[in-house]
Amino acid sequence: MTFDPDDPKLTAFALGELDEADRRSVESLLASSPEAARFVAEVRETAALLSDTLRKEPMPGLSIVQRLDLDARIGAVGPPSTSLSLPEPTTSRRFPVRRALVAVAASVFLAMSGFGIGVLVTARELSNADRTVAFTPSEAPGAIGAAAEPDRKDARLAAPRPVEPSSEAPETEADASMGMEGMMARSNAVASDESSEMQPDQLGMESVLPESPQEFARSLPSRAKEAEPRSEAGAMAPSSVVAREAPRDQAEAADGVVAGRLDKDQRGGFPGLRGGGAGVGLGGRQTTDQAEEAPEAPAPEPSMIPPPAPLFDTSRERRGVDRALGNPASAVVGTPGIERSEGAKASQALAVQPGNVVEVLNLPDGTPAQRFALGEPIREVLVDPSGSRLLASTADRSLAVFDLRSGLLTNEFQVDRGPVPVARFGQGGELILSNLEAGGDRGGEDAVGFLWFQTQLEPVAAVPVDPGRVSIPELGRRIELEGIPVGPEFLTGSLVNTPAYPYDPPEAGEPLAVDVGIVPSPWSEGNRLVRLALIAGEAAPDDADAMPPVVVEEVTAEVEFNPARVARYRPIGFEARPLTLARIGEEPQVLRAGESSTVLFEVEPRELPGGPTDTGPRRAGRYQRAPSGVGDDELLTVSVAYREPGEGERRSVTTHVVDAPTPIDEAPDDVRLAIGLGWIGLLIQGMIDGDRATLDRIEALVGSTDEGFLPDVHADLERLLPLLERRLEQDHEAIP
Amino acid sequence: MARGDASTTIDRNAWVRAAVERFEGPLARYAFRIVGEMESARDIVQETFLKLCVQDRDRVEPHLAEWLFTVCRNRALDVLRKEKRVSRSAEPELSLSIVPATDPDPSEGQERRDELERVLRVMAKLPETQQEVIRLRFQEGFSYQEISRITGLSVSNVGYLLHVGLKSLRGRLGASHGEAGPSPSPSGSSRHA
Repeated sequence: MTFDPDDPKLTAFALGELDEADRRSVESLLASSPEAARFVAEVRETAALLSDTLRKEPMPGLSIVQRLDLDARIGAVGPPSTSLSLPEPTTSRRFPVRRALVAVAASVFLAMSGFGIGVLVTARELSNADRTVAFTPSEAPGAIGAAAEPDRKDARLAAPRPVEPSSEAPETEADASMGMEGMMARSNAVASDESSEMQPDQLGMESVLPESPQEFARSLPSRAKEAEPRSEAGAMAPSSVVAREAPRDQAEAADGVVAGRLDKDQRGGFPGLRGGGAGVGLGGRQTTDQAEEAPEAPAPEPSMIPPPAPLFDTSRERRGVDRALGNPASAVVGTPGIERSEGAKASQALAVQPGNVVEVLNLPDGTPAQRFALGEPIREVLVDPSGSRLLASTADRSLAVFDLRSGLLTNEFQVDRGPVPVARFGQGGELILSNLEAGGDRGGEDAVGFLWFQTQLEPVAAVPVDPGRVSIPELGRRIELEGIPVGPEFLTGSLVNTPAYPYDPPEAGEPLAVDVGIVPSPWSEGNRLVRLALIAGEAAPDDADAMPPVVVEEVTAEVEFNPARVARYRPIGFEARPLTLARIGEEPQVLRAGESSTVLFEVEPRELPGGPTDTGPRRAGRYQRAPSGVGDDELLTVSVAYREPGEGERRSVTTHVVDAPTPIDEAPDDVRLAIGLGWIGLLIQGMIDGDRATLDRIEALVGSTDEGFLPDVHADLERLLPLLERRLEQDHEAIP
Repeated sequence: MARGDASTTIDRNAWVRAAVERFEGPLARYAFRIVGEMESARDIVQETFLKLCVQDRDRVEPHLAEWLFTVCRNRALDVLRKEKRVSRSAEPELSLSIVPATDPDPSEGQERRDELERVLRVMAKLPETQQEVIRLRFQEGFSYQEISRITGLSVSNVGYLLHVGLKSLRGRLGASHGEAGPSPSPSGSSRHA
């Protein structure tokens, strides 16, 4: 053995961690090498310093309240055999102090941070079953601050009462900090105006006009200055900067009220929503209709109306089809801001074009009047009744409102978890969100990764390019230590993606392939499982790079479900998935040579195919209906867009998938193994019931794959399943 | 309930309480270093002990410290993932650097505080995985094998991280700490449980 300062054995020797053979080897080295002996002495010296100092680092321990609570619970808990009688550890039971804070948070309720300028108020006592929230105009400065500190006592008790909208505007800054009662009354007035449209479980919002630029600036959160910069020609992207900097702790719906953790920087927020103001904060600029109402305000900067956009090659043909079929994707709307006339003579349509582009088209000639390029795949777009504002819902779960005339982004927020609300404009131009109450399906925050989505409300699901991978032995260790369920944070999506499935490579010359397999769900009769794989092509390795070369970059993938065939769907484990430590801040959007990405959806078909497909007026929905060759049998469409390194244009691949499941025993090995892993994931996270018979079925499914198919994974599962079985048996024995 | 059962329960409760007494501080400190917030860290520790309450004592007791740190770590990482945290601990060297001044000689206490702050500041420059294994080793006294089981890293990876981490620290801490104290026992210092 020779001295190598980079040899970890030297440190291990200094710390007494070597086995006998290695220890003798190092000892003989030390005898012959003063340098090595000095190295070891220095390691010991550093180790001594660290031991001496680090052990003096303060240890704060539990709070007094937690100790008392824990003490009481220890006394209440019997031996493990009765462990199931232990109340499920929930925040409300365990943390009296926090429970009080949550109650305060509930009464304070949430201010949609920076969403336009206004006050977010409750229209009535909030509950999961019947929730309406209105975001109403505030004519006074400092309104956001006022919303953050309402009268907490009144917040829960005051009954809403109608008030004339004209009499409610406070005149002074002091008036702006009015109590919750007044705010509720105002919101109720808005709700009354919308009585024909507002429904329970809705959130209404409206951008409002400040009195002056100074007031404007004071009302905006400080980060508004970091809002998305506008690009030329009206092209813009949702303000991801704003959304990402939104408060981390969002309010949560629980126990019949909207509750939430009271953050140090309490701004609140609707469950899963992240608010961000933009556009209006850009130097105090106003939207056009605002300017009309406020002649005193400084003149806005030059209009952002873009020059006429060049036509897409595909647009004319598409528009012709849309008009002929009455496709809601190109719903005709009157748009006074650009070219308005009554009736069908001259109006405008919205159309979603390739490249995440929304076009506003003059009809009937089809010339483009406006074009918006968004940064993410578009779920749907719609305009308000006056035709002055455009709402865009994008695949990154953002909702953004643009002023059609100026091209400015005026509002944006991102939905953190759960279904994206259905958004529409009210008669007064305010934004109304519904589908807010989905608690029954969502199962609370703990159901992250397993939410069911109604296709009628949310037909598009974004697909991660890299769902991550987990170690099956590590999972086994965790099950052994902690039992099951292991918690939703252990992602089934990653478990499904863990094996390096030996997929067939794309056809020659193609950098990417999409493979879809559909089988009946083995755990839920009637449901389908959709296994989706993105497969990168092979490429010659670059000698200068240890990693395989990137084959495709800027990859985005999404699935659109046919609402006529699919009642609801759920991604198995990856939707709203938390990031693993290793991947924080670096969501990859590349696939390297030979890589693949595998995800799983569970689909609940409609009992009677042919349900509603029309998404309503003024919508340019993303579901465009299947091509004639596929027809109504289409189950879903997979759309993948990517760019090959060095190429200028992104390409897209669209795959129409017909609802024709393969019997599971005839499915390829990779599909069967993925289903088996997804099944295990649902079981260990308590999302489905399981017993020994379930494990037998899983074992049979995995065992039905070829013996030589991914033998390492087989071996890992052979060790995991007995662990699971033992844990399940223990749990069953523990049930009184 | 039979007399024997009652006795077992009392013993068991005493065992859990003793574990709380002994490990709440080290666990809170450990969790804090992962999540960066004391409130969350305390919640995590409380949940860890609640999990301990329903465990089979005979199974856990032989490696209690290792079990507690493993569960605590898993829960802390779950919290991080759920909250999509970007940073595990913001300016950790400043967050927990105040040592209670219990020394009879205030100047000596100040020296210790200064030394601790210096070490923490230098450690904060290391990658998080190196910091973690160094803490588990020198702050909590775990062996390579135990650290491997707590973190899920292989034993050789633990050895490598400690080797690299100590090498970096040695250079950064300088040679001015020769008087720091006697070397730890070669077997890796004290053990929990």
